[in-house]
Amino acid sequence: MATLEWTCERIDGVTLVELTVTSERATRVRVESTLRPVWPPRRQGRPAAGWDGPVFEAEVDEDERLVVGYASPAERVDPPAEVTTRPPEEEEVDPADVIRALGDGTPPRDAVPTGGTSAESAVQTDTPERESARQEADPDPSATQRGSVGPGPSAAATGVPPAIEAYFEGLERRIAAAEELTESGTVDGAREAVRTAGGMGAVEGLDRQLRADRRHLDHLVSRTERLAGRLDAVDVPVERLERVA
Amino acid sequence: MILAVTAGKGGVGKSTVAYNLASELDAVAVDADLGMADLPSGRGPDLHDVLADRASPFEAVQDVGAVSMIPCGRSLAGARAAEPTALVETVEAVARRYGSVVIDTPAGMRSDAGLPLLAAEACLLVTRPTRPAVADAVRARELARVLDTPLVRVALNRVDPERIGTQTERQRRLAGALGAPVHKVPDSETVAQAQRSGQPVRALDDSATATEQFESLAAAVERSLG
Repeated sequence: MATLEWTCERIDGVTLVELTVTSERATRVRVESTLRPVWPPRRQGRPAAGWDGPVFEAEVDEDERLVVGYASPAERVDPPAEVTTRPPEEEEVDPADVIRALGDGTPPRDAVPTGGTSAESAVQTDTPERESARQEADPDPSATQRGSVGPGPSAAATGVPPAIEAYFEGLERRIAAAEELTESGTVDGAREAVRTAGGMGAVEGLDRQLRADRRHLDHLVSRTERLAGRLDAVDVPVERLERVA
Repeated sequence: MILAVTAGKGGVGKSTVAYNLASELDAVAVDADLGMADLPSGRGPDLHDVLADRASPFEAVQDVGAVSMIPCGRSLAGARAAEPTALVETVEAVARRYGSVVIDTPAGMRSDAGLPLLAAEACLLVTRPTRPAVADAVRARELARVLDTPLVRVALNRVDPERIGTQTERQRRLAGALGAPVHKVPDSETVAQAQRSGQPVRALDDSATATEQFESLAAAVERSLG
């Protein structure tokens, strides 16, 4: 038989719950929060070991106290949780345990050029090399590009340096992704488009990126115009220089 | 059979060993090096897509080359969108349909190295006959031990071809320290050439010493895993 004691504190719209579980003999306890939703403690971005939704499970030894803390936006209720006991069982290591213990190997958000969720991956999935390899191998590249329209003329056709071509392709894909978000006429359609894009965070990221793109394009337009003007005005006097040299 | 090919450090030829073993075992090679894919890749969905739930594991299996494989995907954005824990069910599903899977596991001690070990029935550790490589192999061995993944063989890669046949004292000590028999793979231009062209060494020269060594290594793995 396990005993539950608790304290609840309400701060700035968040209820902080601290539970203390004791038992007369060693047992496995299942603690289920009555407050919903539960914000469990996290390790490496994953709910800490033992947490599964609103339920926390762990072993408690006799004469030992098991302390469990979590938060919830819900108003406090008494008791904030219910405890039940089960005989101890052999615990299996699950994949989330491995991440909690060893750390998440996913590249950090900052390492990803435009922010890092699936909206950007629709936008920035491939390196230019892989993209061009794909175009060579695939007669219809637009069919394999998720959420995007076909690219403009290839670098080989225009003779534009690959880095610039890659910039324009990225821009085309971002605009295509934005167009898809714009075109969803119904509420369900919009919801689906946001989900496909990777959530509102990703949509906001895309919006920020597009505003930056606008500034970069304006800058590029004035700079290319200036350069084109200067280019028109010059003519390398090859023959005259040949005579001098 | 699910075999994780692991190494404490990069640059020891782990991907080469994984690819050639997959060829010998008629297994699907899964390139699980999410941040730094190494095995040859083509077009179509890759492991990033599977782990982000954009493709099924079977859609990502490429059957076109000499070795069936799931390539990894090479962009940071793709790696970030992927759910790493889904690797375990992915390789299990592929093993159920195709029989055998060889996972090319990232080097290091983080969860991206740990998850393939958790998914695998056993692991094979690749190292080189140099001091830093062996030190890292010992750490990788510990990671496998913690995750309860048995080590079936150690592949000592890029050994001087002259020394392939001789059992050295150093090699016995290595086997003792890592707790598994050591199997030597020779340093060979044919192996390097095969890897560059995205083929197993058998496809280039089926009587090369390296081909024979991969064949006997695969046979040893099969015996160990029954």
